[in-house]
Amino acid sequence: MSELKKILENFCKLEGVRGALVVGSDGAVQESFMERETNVDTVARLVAAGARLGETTAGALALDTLNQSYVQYADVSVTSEVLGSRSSLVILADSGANLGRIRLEIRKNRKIIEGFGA
Amino acid sequence: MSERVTPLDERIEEAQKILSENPDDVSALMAYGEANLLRGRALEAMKSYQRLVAIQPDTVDASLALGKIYLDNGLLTEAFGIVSRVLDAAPANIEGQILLRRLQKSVKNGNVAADLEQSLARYKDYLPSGDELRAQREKLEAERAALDGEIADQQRAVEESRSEPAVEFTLQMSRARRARVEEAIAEVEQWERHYHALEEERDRALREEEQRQQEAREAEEAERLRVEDEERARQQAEAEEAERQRQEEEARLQAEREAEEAAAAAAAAVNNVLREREEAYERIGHQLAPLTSTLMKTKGVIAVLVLSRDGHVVHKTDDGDSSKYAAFVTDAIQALGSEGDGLGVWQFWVLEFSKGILVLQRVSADYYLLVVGQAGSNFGVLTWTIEKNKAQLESVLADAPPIPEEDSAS
Repeated sequence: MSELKKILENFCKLEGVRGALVVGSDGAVQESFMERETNVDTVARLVAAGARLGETTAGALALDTLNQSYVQYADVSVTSEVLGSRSSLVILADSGANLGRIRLEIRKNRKIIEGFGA
Repeated sequence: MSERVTPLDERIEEAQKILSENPDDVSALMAYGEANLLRGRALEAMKSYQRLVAIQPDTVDASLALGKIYLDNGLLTEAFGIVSRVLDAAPANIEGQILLRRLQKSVKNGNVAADLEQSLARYKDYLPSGDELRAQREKLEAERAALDGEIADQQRAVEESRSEPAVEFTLQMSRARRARVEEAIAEVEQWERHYHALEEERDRALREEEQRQQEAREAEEAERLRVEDEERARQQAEAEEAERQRQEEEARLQAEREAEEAAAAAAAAVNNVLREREEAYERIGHQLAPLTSTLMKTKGVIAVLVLSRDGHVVHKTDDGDSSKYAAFVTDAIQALGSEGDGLGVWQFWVLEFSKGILVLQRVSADYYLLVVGQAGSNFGVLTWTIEKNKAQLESVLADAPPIPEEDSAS
């Protein structure tokens, strides 16, 4: 198991976290770890589309750069942090998961993950 | 033993006697030549004829007799000189032509100078005219008939006057003359055959030429008709093409008119819908104002908008340009996908930028709430406040007109 995958696995130790993955700006999954069976390609595609729209909107509304995005679905939330290489670190969590804790863990691991070239 | 004196000898002696007194007597020279020729003394005859021709170059009988002696003795160039002079003066001269034929045969069979052969060639294709041939034939036949009469008379005279040399000589001369006439008639007949063959050939060539000209005329006529047909077909095709283009243009214009009418009708319908929607939004906006005012009180919030799925602003808290927010909403709905993506229906979307925050809340399938906040706004509080007012928002927007699918596409 790669180091990156281990880091992603560690996210899943947080309560309510279903999985974590790294998605390129082109929507390709670079690495992922899922606690439950999930269609990661669909998630990656949605994240990449959201990131592209975020970039466009940032320019259009003079909001500088998109840093983080959070989408709440019926029973799952998708938190994605834009990394230095314009890849995204994506955390899938249940609706009741502690979002503050997830955001904190993202902040803590961001540099390490970027060190893997993501 | 003494030789028997023949009529020819007597004739020769008589001519000699005249010539001894008058060497240039033309008749005597002629008679001397003829008699010696009949006697077989070609050399004497030749000398006599040569002298006669020298005195009278246009004497045809003497010339031809001399030419015959030359030819008989292989003097072909001299014979040609005589024959050419006779024929140049009278091309239709039968005896001259006969002599020419014999000369041509001799040249053909013998080894002679090339220039003589070339000189003869210029007479090769001579053919008298039809009139000349008829005249020659009539003349020769009349001469033959006359000679036949003379010979018959002379024959009777010889039989009556037994051994009269002068009568016998005259008979021989007449017979010789008749033989030459017969030969000339044969030559004329040969010419006639040739002439008829040529006439037939000419007629045939004429017919062929007429046929050729007729075919050429027919081909020309056929070509003219073909060109006319082609021109007619081209004009017809052009007319048809012009008609087709006219019909196409008419159809295109008709289609354009119909499309314009349809577009105008659709635009009118859309305008009606939009007008109705604007009226509804104005009414609903009064009900939404207290709710958005509550949200505006949340720390960091700078604008609140309620928008339809197709980007129409139902209500907003400021008078600024909302078109960019409307574009964001329609694009966001597109980007986040539908239930078919397997994650269920999205409820809200928070985007944190370096210089601000956007929260997009789904109120219904057709209407959305957009909250614009400053950078660093507490989106937990923000989402909690939105959630708290969501039921009321849903209640108010339940009266908003539904957005047709085709409208969202536009």
